[in-house]
Amino acid sequence: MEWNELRAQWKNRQTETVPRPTRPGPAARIWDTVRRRDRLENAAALMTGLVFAACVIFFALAGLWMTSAFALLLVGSIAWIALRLGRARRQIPEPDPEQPVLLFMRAERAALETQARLMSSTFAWYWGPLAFGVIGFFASLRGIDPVSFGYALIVVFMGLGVEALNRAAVRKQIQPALEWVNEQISQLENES
Amino acid sequence: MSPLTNDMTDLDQLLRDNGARLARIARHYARAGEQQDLLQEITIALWRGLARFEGKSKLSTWVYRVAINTALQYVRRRQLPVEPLQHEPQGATDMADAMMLLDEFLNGLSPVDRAILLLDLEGVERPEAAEIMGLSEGAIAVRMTRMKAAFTEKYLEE
Repeated sequence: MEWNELRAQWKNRQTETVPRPTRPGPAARIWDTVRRRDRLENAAALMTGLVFAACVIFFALAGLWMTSAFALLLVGSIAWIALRLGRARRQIPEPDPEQPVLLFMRAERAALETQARLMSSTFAWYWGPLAFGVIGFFASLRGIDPVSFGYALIVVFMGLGVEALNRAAVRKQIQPALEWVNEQISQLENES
Repeated sequence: MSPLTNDMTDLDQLLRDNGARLARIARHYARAGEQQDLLQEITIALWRGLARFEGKSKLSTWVYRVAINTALQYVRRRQLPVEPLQHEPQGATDMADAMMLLDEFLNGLSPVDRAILLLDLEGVERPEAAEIMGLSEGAIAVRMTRMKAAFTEKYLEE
């Protein structure tokens, strides 16, 4: 039996009926969700930023300079996080299935690596600056007492908890996906 | 007209012309019973990309790229393992046996090698296969020769 006979037979096989698209596929849904969440986060950041911007003016007029300064720090942190998120999103290329397979796999790897890096360092670039501003804002209003101290501890532990959950998600979901993509890339690059 | 119905006429034509080859690809990247899910994803990816298709490559090249990339993404997300061979390699006695063994052989290959062999079975010429995979023609030739030889040696020679 010759390979060419097999190839001829291959095309005569009974195949499944191809459906018309009726709903977005998971890949499309993921990126739709990412874009929707970005818009929601930006709207939330804008609203919160406006509230704390009002606090800056209000507390400055009331002579509470320290509280006003921490509110300003919060406004700055919120703006910085929004910019950082936007820049990170631009760094994560949406893999385009129209690319050659090797380039598509490399884009998948870049997207997964950036996602893993961002998720593993949320305390440093997301939660940390916000926590510092919020704790300072609260403590400057109330004074340093056990309640302020307890509040600070809660905020810090929540941030560390979020980071731990993110790191676990990276370890369990993103890392295996990354290993799979790397394996395909090395197979493609080998002998090419 | 809703966005989903835009370009539907073009898409229908595309699916009529390429449906069988898409189904043959899906058959080797999704578990039995889940092939419709993968086909659905491939048709959505084609529909989303159709408006952007500028004719820089052949339509068939574009269709294969979208189908294979979507299939690879599908395998990654579901973490589908490479299936071990179920039959002892032995000489195929007739064409039905040979096709069954070919299915097994394909499913035992890594997802990217499977794509290369599928392209050969579909009759895609090496320059086009190279363009689809993003590899050199030489790399495609080496792999195709090696895989075909492995299959022939294991299954077809008695």
